[in-house]
Amino acid sequence: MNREVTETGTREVLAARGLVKQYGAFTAVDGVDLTVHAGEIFGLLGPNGAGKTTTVNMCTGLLRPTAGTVRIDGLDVEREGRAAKRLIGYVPDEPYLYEKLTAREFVHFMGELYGVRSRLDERVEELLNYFGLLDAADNLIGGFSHGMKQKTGLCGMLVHDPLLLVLDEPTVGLDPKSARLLKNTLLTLAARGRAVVLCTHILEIAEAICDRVGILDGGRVVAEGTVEGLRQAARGGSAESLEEVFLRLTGGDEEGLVVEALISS
Amino acid sequence: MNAVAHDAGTVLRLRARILSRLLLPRFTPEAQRVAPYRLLAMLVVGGTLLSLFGITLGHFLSVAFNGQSLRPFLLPALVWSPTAAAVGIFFYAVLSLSATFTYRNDLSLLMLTPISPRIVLADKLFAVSASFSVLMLVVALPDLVGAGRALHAGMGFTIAALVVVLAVPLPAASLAMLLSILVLRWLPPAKARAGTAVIGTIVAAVLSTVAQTFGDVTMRLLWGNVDVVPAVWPGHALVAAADGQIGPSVLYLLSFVVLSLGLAALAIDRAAYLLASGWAVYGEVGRRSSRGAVRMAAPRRTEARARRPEWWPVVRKEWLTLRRDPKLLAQLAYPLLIEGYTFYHAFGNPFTAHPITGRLARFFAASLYLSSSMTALFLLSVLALPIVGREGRSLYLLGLAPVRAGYLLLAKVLFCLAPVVALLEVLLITMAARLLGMSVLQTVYVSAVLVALVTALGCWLVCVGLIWPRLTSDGSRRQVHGTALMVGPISGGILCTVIGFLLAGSFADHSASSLAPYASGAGIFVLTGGIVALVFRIGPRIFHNLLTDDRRPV
Ligand SMILES: Nc1ncnc2c1ncn2[C@@H]1O[C@H](COP(=O)(O)OP(=O)(O)O)[C@@H](O)[C@H]1O
Ligand SMILES: [Mg+2]
Repeated sequence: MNREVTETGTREVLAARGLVKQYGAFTAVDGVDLTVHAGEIFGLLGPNGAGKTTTVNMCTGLLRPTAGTVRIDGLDVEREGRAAKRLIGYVPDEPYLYEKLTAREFVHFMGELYGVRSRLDERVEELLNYFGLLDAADNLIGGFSHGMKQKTGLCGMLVHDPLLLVLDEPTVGLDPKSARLLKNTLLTLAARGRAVVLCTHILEIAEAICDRVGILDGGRVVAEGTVEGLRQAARGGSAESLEEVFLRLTGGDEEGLVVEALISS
Repeated sequence: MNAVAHDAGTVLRLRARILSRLLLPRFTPEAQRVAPYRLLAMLVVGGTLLSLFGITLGHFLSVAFNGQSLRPFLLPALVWSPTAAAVGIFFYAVLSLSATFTYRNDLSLLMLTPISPRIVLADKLFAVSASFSVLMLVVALPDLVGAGRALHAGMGFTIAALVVVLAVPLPAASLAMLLSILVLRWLPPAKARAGTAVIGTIVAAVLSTVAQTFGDVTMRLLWGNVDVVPAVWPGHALVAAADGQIGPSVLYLLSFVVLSLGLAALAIDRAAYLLASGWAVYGEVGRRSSRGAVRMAAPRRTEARARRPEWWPVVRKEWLTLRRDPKLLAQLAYPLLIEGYTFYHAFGNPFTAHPITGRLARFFAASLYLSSSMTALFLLSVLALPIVGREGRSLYLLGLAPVRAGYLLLAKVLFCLAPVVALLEVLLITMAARLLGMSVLQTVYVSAVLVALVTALGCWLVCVGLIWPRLTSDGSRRQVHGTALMVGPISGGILCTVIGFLLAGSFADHSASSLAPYASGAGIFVLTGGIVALVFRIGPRIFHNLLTDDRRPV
């Protein structure tokens, strides 16, 4: 992480406006606005099928929105795709990597693909070492466990030092030690001015590290703000309990759990 | 006996149902009603087309050789071509059967039923063998009919050809079954398919060498007598039939059929025994793969490297992936092997001393072009057609990359073209210069034509695979849609034919003092250039859409 980003808080790293995605007649994402600033960890919460993956796929340029625009640090993802993509790192929930490459070759390949030219070999070694993959670095990815694949994917996505790092359900498959490592990594990245978007349905993580969260349900953002702010908004509102507020927002039992976790701390 | 009949009946009904699904895809009552007629129409039209092809081929051969000096060329070819076909079938049957024993898990299901394992395995063996018989009916029978016509052979020859075409796949498939069962016994399941492919290639190469060497030797020593090497019996049957000697022909054929059935019985019996005794594995190929360390590329320079082209990393990745895919490597190696032997046999000993001229030269030039372009088509079908689909679920990585779709396309095309061009050029230039005594200028011209053809073909096939990829395929299953498998090779074949005609046109007699030869030559480059331009005009758009639309599996 050799490039320091000084200007934090005001710099809009991700600005999604009016994102809509329709699959035939079905609207998976229905008018989502997201803003994530430099130095911020943003949690995108929501039950299964809420549209989290679809939303971040559109934000990273992997999926063309039916309507709406995405800007990465001011660059339009569709029209200035190449420049915008240089700034993004994305680890999807199922990290499909090249099974016939070794971990080291893969990270190196990603570095070359992103045009990293200075100190590429050192960076690859540093990252592999940092994520504890050095011992397995010369093994084919095809033989890796889910967690190892995820860590390899992360190495591949950090090698070009992205300004915006997007992680979809990153802790599925990670052991506690790796999960802790990941959290610390994200905090460090944010402290150095990078922006992080984290999709999850597990609340402890969001609570522990997210500066702000957005709750997505049925393709719409039903609540957005700091964890503390959401909690207070719910308390200060009507006589309803927070749990009821969230259940009403998301209309699902899963979100009930979300709420409980938010209150109890 | 009754139980056997019952088991066989069950398996046959199952097979019939699978077949009817395949041939009559829609199960609406209307489709059911017209299905038999459709099938009949397909058979009639297909049969007519194929016989027309055969007759035309025979005619062309007669014209090319002026009806005279044909026997010295065709008779040896008749002897060894069924053997060559059997070796090729053996190789693909190894691939297909090792899949039957591993990936396609209906075998383990069938083995759990009370049906006798022998019946189940017999069904598998005959299904594989029959599929190759169908292929031979379409591909080889018209050629044989053509050869028969050129030799002025009678009806007996056609019947013998039919029997040969139907019978040759069976012993090849039986041997393949024996081999794959044995290999699966020794290999860990995860490596089974790749391993059998490699060993299959080696065995096929050895068999091909032995068979062809013997084919040659026995032909010289025992011409007219009974040959003791079974591999060339079908060939001898054909030759005898072509000469109108029905007796020897029937004898060779009968012996071959009996031998084939014996071999099939042996293969079924051994396979059933090995499977039942737990000696061989089946149906348990998991996602496991080697955990052993893989040799790393040598450490590279650490200082800032020179700016590499955008497509470079993708080409490098393709190479790293390819060299660890023994199945693909084996598939690529095989046509080269066959090619080498074909050249050796067709142009070997008698002609190297003095260049061929006249009509004969034209015939050889034509077959040189035919086999080079077919090799290119085959190699590129294996290499270029699935090269986008091979990305599979990892395609999102290219979608994330800050690389223009046009460069991704270029990387894929370059990776496919480089080896094929290099290989064919070497082959062609050697043959053309040595055999046909072509001038330097002519050789340069022909190799330029070949480069143009391979380039256009490669671009086109990559593009076809890009339009119909199958990204959800895992591992070694088919990576493009059936449509691409149809459209790609067929359109490629048409392109090869058209270029072939233009090439022939550009060598037409200059005495006519017309511009036609030049126009013909220019046409080649205009056509191929146009295809390349078209692919790079529409391809990047299609690639970009593939990377960003809903078809990409998430
Ligand atoms: N390619 C697709 N075609 C049709 N529907 C889709 C496709 N991808 C996602 N969906 C639907 O969109 C909705 C949102 O999916 P997703 O974004 O994956 O949810 P999440 O990640 O929040 O669990 C789901 O109902 C899913 O079924
Ligand atoms: Mg998801």
